[in-house]
Amino acid sequence: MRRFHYLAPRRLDEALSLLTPDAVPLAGGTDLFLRMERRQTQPDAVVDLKRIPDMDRIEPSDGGLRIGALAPMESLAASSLIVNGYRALAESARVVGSIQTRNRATIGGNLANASPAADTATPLLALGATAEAGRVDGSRELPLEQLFLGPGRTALESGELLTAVRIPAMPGRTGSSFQRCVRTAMDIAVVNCAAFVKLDEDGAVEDARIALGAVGPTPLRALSAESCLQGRRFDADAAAEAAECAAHDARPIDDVRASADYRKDMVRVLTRRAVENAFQRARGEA
Amino acid sequence: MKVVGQELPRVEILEKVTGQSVFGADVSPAGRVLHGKMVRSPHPHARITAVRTEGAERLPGVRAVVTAADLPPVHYGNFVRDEEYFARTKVRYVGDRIAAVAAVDEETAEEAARLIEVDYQVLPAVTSGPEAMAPEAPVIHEDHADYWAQPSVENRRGNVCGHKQIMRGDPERGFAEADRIFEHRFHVPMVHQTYIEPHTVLAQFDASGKATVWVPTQAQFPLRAAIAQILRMPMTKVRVIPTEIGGGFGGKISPTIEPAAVALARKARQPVRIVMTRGEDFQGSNPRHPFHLRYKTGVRLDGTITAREIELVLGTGYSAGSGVMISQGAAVRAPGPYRIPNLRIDSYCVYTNTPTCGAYRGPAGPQLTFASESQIDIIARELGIDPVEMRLRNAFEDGDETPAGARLEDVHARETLRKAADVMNERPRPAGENIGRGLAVAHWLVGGMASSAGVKLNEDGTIGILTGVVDLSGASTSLAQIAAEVLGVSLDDVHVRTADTDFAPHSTISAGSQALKSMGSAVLLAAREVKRQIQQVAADKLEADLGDLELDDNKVFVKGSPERAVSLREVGHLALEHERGPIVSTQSVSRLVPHPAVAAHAAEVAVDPETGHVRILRYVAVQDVGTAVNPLSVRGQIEGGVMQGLGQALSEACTFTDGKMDNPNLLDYKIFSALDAPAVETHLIQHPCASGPLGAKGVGEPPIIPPPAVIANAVADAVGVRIHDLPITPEKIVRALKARRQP
Repeated sequence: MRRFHYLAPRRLDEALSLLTPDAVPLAGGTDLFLRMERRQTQPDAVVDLKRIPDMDRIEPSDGGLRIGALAPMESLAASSLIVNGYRALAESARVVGSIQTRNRATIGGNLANASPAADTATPLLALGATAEAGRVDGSRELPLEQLFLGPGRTALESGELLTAVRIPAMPGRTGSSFQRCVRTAMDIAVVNCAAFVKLDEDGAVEDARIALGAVGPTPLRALSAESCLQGRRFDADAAAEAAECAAHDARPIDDVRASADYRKDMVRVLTRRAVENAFQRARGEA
Repeated sequence: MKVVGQELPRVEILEKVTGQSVFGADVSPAGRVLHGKMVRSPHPHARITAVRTEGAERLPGVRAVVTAADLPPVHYGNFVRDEEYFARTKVRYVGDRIAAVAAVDEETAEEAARLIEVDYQVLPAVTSGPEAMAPEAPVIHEDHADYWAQPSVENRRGNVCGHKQIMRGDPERGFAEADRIFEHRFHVPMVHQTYIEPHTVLAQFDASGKATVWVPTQAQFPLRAAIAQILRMPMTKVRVIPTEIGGGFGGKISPTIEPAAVALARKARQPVRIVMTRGEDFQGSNPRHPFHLRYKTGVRLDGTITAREIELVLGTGYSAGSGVMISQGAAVRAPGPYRIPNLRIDSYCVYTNTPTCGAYRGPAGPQLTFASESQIDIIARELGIDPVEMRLRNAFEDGDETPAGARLEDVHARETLRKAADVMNERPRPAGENIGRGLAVAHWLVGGMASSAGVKLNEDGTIGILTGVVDLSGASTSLAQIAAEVLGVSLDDVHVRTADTDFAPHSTISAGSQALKSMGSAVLLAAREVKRQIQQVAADKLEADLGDLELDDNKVFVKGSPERAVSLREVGHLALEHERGPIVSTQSVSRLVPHPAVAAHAAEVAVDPETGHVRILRYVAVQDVGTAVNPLSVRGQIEGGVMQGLGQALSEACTFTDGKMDNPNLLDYKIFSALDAPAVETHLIQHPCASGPLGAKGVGEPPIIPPPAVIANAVADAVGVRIHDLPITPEKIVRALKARRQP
């Protein structure tokens, strides 16, 4: 490994000022260290964010939730705010890596790493999350869809740091669900899928969002599947049609983990299951 | 027995759990250690037209560069001498060794490795056995007929570097007598041991020209011989010191980076350490052989097998390695633990442009059993016979012969098989769809290799054991238990030391389930001789007949009069004054009669028919172990074997595209983790075995053999589709279910 400077600022503004083009931010390190070991990233400086107070906080904000970028997976999975209000996110955080990994890996790292298979990305897309990007001269907020540009590439500009994720309020009659397929228990997703539905008083879909992972260059929204659910009441046909649409929205490739065909099949299965599950939860049945 | 048969913690456990054990990469000699790095071929098959090392040699911090030009022109190999350490004229797999560099730090070594320029003329490559056997296939060793080979290696031609044929009875008549004939093809890919510790070595030269090599190895004596042969050094100018080993599973027997480290240390006149990266280890060590198998079986309607015709194609990699021996052994075990009167078996060992495979735990076992036991299940279902009954009907017994004509004794196939079925049937199947059960039975033949061990009585009455066998999985503890049993002391009073090649008496390798059998037999003989010497000294002291003396509780006493006793401590002192002198014995054993060791496993699985995901609800492993010297250790072996076997069943495969491995990392090469592991219900069948020390059988190989067949059979029972190609991935199950639904 090439020699590098290790910097551990205690304030966010200090950290931001250290993020020069040759520096990389360090949170849990579960992705970064592997990349450095494989010589895929060879930074001059590593800026460790873990000494900055409160960057791992999970707190109510504007009726919704603000999750600090340094919140580890295990905290997300255990947080009553998330378990009660944003089930899909808790479900995804609970299956990332091993217990040891989940105590280190952070939500900010999982998103900024920009893996098409990032497990927390799909539930956050489905839940309508936004990303908070900080830099020396202020911060901006961008819809999560706009954060991901391609494998390993985000819209964060030089000197910008993902500081938090915000998720809007979850009123009544909403439900979400996360599903995934893996080869063994500790694996990156072959396909993952999250669904969110909001029902009106009559039980028809007022709003639906479906997100898919590992079936395109970025985690993506299955827009035709979402519109196919608009205004519909739940039945087996609705879920199956949404699943079929999602399979069209997916753009999987063949790789060592699975074939594109299998991934399409799994998009159908997981979308149907996620939609069914989200409906049940929106109706208070599960 | 008081010590043998007890579940005792390992003798070295405190050092292991407190992190004090010294593993390969922990060794720190005097003097600044250089970092070594191999330069490997990026092509699966190419002619080398030039190698230029000047750039690397000029780089500041580089202390040595070695290539084929630095080594004598030696062809080596135990069965066929077809291997050169550094490629001279051709590379034959991605990862083939071109050169090695040593530098003051890792980064400089890596940079130097990049600066070595090699010109290649790329040749067409073949990575599968059947492809390599085709007449138009590129030939990997053009002149291999000229290589020296052991006389047992027969019928070498083209890329076939060995073909073993076994004929028993009259196969033609056997098939004519059959009511039904079944024929199936199976495929098992290459899989890798994925021990936690990658290959590592540290080599040093002293002023007398002697090399000392610290290495986690399963086979210190053969490794010493191989290094000496490759570098053309006198054997005793090489000292191999085995360190603690972070798993071997047969992957740490053949030399990999050791000769390079020695050559670099010699040239640099400084110690050199090489540690393989995981990717290098996947592509440059000794994985399990891929097999293509064809099984044709004739049966009567009652399930009696009348004949089997078996064709095995084993892809050995770029050199014969141990592949020829394994393909010969595979021919002998291919029919399974059954009495089959008529057999025709053809086993081909074939060169391919891939890493040379090694003797991964239970070599050929999982592959053969997957094919054979899948087919037995298919046949039983077709005939409407219970699969267990069909196996019981054909199971071999004492007095039957192996296909090679060796008479079998101490066979407990039926009892082991019945026990596995009974334990599974103790509980009813859970309600629900897509749940199935499967069973398979397999055997391993446990041989024995020349071994010697020393046992002594210390002056304080404790016992010392000196061996050269590496403790892979509890051997030291079991050896201590054997000596403690014979000499009437507790385990704490026995100290075992594995010494290096300079000081240990010659010992077997730790492989093939025979370390305890071979070394335990030597320890048993030596302990018995030490006992006789103790009795001799005690007899004079107690004025008793030697034959009337017994050893127990750290003392010697007269049978029937326990008050007439002398402690071992006293005997230890007395011996120094006694005419016989210090009490010590070194004893040897030679090749030992092989015994069969049978494992029968059963599983209950739930299959998600939409995703193809297989969940293991129950796993039963029953094994015929003879006397379990340490049942805790035996159960640990079984559980570990099952987990490795399940990985091979469900998720593991080295896959290749254009000769390059697709997944040389632990992210994409999926082994079973703790989160996947089912609870294993282990049951030991214990009948003392005549050819093992105090009745012990070899236990390491059998448990890794049945799992792929067990899972294949359980999945077929659950969802009605049969996967003929390992691993049984969710994707294959989904594809098979789709194919069945299509009209």
